[in-house]
Amino acid sequence: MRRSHTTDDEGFNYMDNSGQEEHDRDMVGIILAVAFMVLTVIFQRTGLL
Amino acid sequence: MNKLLVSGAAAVMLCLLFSGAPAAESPHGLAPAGDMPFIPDLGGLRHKTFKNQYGQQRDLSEAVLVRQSSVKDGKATVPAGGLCYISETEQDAAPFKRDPFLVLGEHAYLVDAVQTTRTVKDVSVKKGEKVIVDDAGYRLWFDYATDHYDLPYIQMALIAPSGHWPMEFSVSSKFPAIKDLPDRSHMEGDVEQLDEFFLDPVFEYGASRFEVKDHDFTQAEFSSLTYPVIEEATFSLSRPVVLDLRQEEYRLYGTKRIYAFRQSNGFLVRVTDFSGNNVLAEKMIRPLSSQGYKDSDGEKDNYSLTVPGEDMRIEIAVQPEYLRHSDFVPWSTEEPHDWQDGLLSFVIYRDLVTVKNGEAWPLDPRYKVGLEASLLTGKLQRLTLENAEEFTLDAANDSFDGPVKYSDVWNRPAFRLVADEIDGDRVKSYYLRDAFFQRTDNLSFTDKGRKDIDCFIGRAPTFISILEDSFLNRLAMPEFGTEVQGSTFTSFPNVMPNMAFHSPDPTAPFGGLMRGFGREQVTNRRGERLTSSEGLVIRGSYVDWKNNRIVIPPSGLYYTSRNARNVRALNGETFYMLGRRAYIATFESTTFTRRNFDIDFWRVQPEGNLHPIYWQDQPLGVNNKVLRFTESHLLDDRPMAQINVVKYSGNNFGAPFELAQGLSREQGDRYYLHDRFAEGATWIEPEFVGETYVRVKSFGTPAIQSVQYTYEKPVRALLAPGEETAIGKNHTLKLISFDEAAGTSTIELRRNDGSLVETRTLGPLTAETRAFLPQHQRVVNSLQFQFDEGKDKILAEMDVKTPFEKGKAAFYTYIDLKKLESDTPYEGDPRFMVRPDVCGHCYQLNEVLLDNPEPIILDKEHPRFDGPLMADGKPQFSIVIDSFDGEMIHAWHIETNYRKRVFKSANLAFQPRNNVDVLMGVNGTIEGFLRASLMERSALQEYWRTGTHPHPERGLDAWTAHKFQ
Amino acid sequence: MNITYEERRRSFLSCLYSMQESLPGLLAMFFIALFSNNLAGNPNPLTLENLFRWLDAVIGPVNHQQFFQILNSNFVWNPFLMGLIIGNVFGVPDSWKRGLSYIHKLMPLGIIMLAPHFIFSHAEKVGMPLILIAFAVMLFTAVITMLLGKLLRMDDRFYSTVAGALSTGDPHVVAILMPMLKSKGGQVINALGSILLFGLVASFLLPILGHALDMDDKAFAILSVFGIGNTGQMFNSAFGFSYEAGHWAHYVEALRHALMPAGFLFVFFVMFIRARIYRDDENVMATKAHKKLPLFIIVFIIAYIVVQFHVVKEPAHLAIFELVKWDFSLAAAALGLSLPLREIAQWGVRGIVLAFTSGIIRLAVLIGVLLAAAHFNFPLI
Repeated sequence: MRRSHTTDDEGFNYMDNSGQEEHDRDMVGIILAVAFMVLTVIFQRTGLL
Repeated sequence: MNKLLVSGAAAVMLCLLFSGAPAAESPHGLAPAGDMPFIPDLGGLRHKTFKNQYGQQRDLSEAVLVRQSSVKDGKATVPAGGLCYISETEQDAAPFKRDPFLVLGEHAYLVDAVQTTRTVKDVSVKKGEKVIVDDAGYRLWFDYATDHYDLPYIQMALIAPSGHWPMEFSVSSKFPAIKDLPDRSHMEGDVEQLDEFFLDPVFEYGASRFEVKDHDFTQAEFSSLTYPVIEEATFSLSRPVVLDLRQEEYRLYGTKRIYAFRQSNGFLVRVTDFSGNNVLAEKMIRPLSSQGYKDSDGEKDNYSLTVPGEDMRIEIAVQPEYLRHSDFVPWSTEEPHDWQDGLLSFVIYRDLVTVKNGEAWPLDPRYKVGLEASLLTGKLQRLTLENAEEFTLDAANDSFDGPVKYSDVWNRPAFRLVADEIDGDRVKSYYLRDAFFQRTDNLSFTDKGRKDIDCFIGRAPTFISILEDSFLNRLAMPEFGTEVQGSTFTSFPNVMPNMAFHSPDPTAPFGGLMRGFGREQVTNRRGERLTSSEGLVIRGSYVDWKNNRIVIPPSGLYYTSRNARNVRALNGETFYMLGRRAYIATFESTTFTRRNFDIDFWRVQPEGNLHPIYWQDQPLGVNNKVLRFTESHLLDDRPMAQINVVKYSGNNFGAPFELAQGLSREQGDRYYLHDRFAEGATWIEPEFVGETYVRVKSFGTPAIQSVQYTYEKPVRALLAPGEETAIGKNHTLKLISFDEAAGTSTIELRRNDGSLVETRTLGPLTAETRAFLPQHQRVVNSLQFQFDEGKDKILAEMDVKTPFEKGKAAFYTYIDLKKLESDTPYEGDPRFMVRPDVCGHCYQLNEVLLDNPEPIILDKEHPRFDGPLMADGKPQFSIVIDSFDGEMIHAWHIETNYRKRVFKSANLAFQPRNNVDVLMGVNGTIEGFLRASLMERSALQEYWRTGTHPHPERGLDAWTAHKFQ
Repeated sequence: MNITYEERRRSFLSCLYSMQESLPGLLAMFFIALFSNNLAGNPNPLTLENLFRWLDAVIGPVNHQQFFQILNSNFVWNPFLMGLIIGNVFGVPDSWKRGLSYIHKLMPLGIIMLAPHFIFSHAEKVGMPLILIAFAVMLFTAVITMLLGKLLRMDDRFYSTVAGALSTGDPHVVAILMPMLKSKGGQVINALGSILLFGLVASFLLPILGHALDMDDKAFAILSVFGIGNTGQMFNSAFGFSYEAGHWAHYVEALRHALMPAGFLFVFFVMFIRARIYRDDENVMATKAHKKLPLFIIVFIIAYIVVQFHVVKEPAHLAIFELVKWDFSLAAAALGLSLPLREIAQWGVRGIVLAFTSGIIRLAVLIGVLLAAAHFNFPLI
């Protein structure tokens, strides 16, 4: 059954998260999280925050 | 019908029962119950800073106050004037400046005001009383009396009907006045104690003048009290319409034409209807500029045109070009500067509302309008609306509407006072709801309920004056435990190299009374009862997060001991010295003088947890006091400066110097201030008073070098000539002779082994010398004989109260004298320096301070610091850090040693803190800090009570916070 | 039918899709967040958060607390609610869906950035006995909830979500556990609702019980914090008991925060190991989709360990937490949009039964411990 809230007409379900795609999404999240935290810490240590 | 009569009669009976209590006094100028609830934030009562046309800052706030109410038999009664709405500006509001003012939650502008002064003659008041002086409800308060050379001087305040007063003033008819101040501009450096003590019989304060005729310690008679009043004020409830002015042409304003014809001294402004044929009004008006005198009676008519029958008031102003069609001024300056270029513009005010002092509020006759002027400038400072008639709340009728407000949406009550649960003589639930239907918490904080429905909601500064009698109790005996406000953590701690002359963090926890810090009533030889108390202040401490440690900078920790007034020799007066009662023996003071120096205005004033900018302070000697220029006003464009003497402890000297030059009531000025100032032994004579700096020609204030004291109670000895008495273990005092008429005694002090003998004649103690007692050290020294030989320090003094009795002469003998010498290590614990503070009036010891000359470092390895050691070798107090992670302090406390027991304070970092600033104990110094931060602290008490965090920009507040003025 | 992700993938950045594909959904999340919370840098005063604050003020404080705080309105709840309403009333346009899939990047991003929030040294002040008790009660609750959930024949993703959030006493944990356990949106929200309902009921009843048992203020504060949690609800309970209990609840709350990661990691690892053991059991669904331990969890654990050494000092932590709020606001908007109401209802009332049963068992155990401590005069704080 097509789930109107999450699936588009191409069959892309945005709440599905698996396989290589999940791996890549995790990677983007991790990189951004680490980057934000490292930057914030650097900003604070160098007196910018 | 009968039923109605019966119930009517019952109501009358009830009212009679009520009035069984003493006839209700007018609540004007009186305080609410000392334990009344205070709610700082309610969305409908605004608190915000705006700017006027010239970019001057105006801090506006609104509040609702209930006072003198009572609850009895299921009914809460509020007398006429007991429910009061206050809209207040911290500065003032005057016409022609587009000064903002809040009117029942609406942002308005003051556009016109009728300002006059009122003079009341012959007012008598007894000490402690607040007598009503006029119909409006102004009161004169006789707070306190003290003496110099045994002559009285008195501390007074004129209280406005709202309860606000700007400052206490000291006057006396017994001393030389300020005009008698001699030229002392030749003095420089330390000079000896001066004889004169100044106090003026007239307190001059801009638009106010209070003249005392006669007084003693317990009552005073004033020949006149003159103070400004506002009879009428006109507000514009909308932003003005600003139109570029076109010469010899008209601009359309709605359906009207406004012409401007150039004249030699202004514009002839003509308002016509749309066709231009019917002239509605015509007048020559002059363009506005910022000079202050233009709002005076004779002048102000030249600057505006009010169109009769139309809601229009026209002024002509210079509007900077980039601000065309706007009244929004984005920055602030404290001085009103005109725009140097720009366009002449019509400024048309509409939605005008005129209110008259003492008359009904236009939308709601149940409320009476009060307009209060700033005592200094005579301009509008407060608008009050108070209930004209007494009202009662009970089960049948549990709410009372506030005054109806003007609104863009619909005119409705600005607030509503509700008491929905009254149980006999207690109210269990009452609250205030604002015009946006938001309500406060139940103002009856505990299940016990309250016996009145007094409260203060909102942040109007009147709160501070109104609580003068009770604030110490409110803060020192918190109902809900020791309050600790969590710190805001920043990357940059506020580091001060030395904290002398500065205040602690306004959020520093206040521990109140704690065993180990003494506070008691003591009586001197004359039977005068004085409170003596000691405490601890930590200021300027910070977490050095880069090094995982807590730093208390030099002078960041001090022990303070102080009496309710200065500590005087020859009277057997005592003070606390590290938990023990010490008897003062003698003192050594000088006058510190300086001449020809500049003081800059202290432009950047401390706010929140920022430490003040300190480089503008002018030091008065080393570690004595500093001069600080804290306030600057223009009184009809003449600069007026307020200069404070700041003590080593960080507190201000009680009397600020209010100075302005070239003012004279005779020459028709609206204002007058002394052009020099002298109070007690402190004086200042300026060469020039400017807006941002003052050049001082001559200045002097006392400085104390040392005091001597003993822990042993002085002993009275009554000796006939030839008789002797032991003084200490190794010495003997012998009376050789005395002369009662001349007031002299000759005594001999000798070592018991006979190896040393000294003789001296004490006195004379005559009417002439008594006129300098007890304060003058020359006379004090002439009555004392000090014998100092290393181990044995002793002193004998004449009994000044009864020097001769039944053919004998009377003496007091002191043994084991100890010395506190300024800027030297304290002999009982050399880790601390002695910094005695002197009374700025009278050269006597005012306060004993012991502080740290070196920084104190606390970290994981050194979590404990012991305070000064007491006589038994134990520290009086210790600072103990219980949980500190290098960044935040999570738990720390203070321990005291008292009667062989250890007492611990509550956790002073109950919420994480980034410093260990603290106030422990209760004395004048700590009281000063508390008073200065009373509003913040009271708000914190409320946040603490309910476990909320201050967060003003939420809900409706976020909406109003983002609205431009 | 369409090209699979693997086919169009060129690098790991391919999961960002094209600007054209993802922008509408990102904007939808952005605007929902913008009108939900007073986020850092958001000048919009017309937010759901402000509406609730106003309603709070109109309703008046309940036990001195704001009513919507007791309902746990917060930066996750508000945009979720708004997304849920928009999704159910208007549906979700197809053009938004690529952008909305960014929720799967935002979840690990937010979870990792939460690490500086959990600093153990903030809780040391309460003392070791209480730390140990709280830790034991937390693990006990997690275990008992998971066992009961199994007994109730619930979906294992569902009961483990309930277990994580209930034991840590923090409703945010349902969101944190969602990508870890691979639970369904409907389960997450059903679990959240169940726990909040339990907290709401308990927070009003507990003060009565506390007075009946004559508990002291500190003990009751501990009971509120570890027996209910859910910040607003525990304050409602503690302040409902007394002012002092309310203040002490503030004090011990730091401990609940510090222990939180241990709680949800415990639940995750239990389920993860279980899924490895019962590889072939088709009833075992939680964490099963993970081929191996997800990298973001490893990174979170490393970050959690690193921040214990105060690498992230306080203003930096606050800045990161503001980012977390943005992150979860955006993610919650996408989650709200994804859920038809029936998907929440579909998981039935067993979540409520579970939350109430476990919650009551936990309260009973805690009360027993606290009364015993009082009996033996053992100071817990």
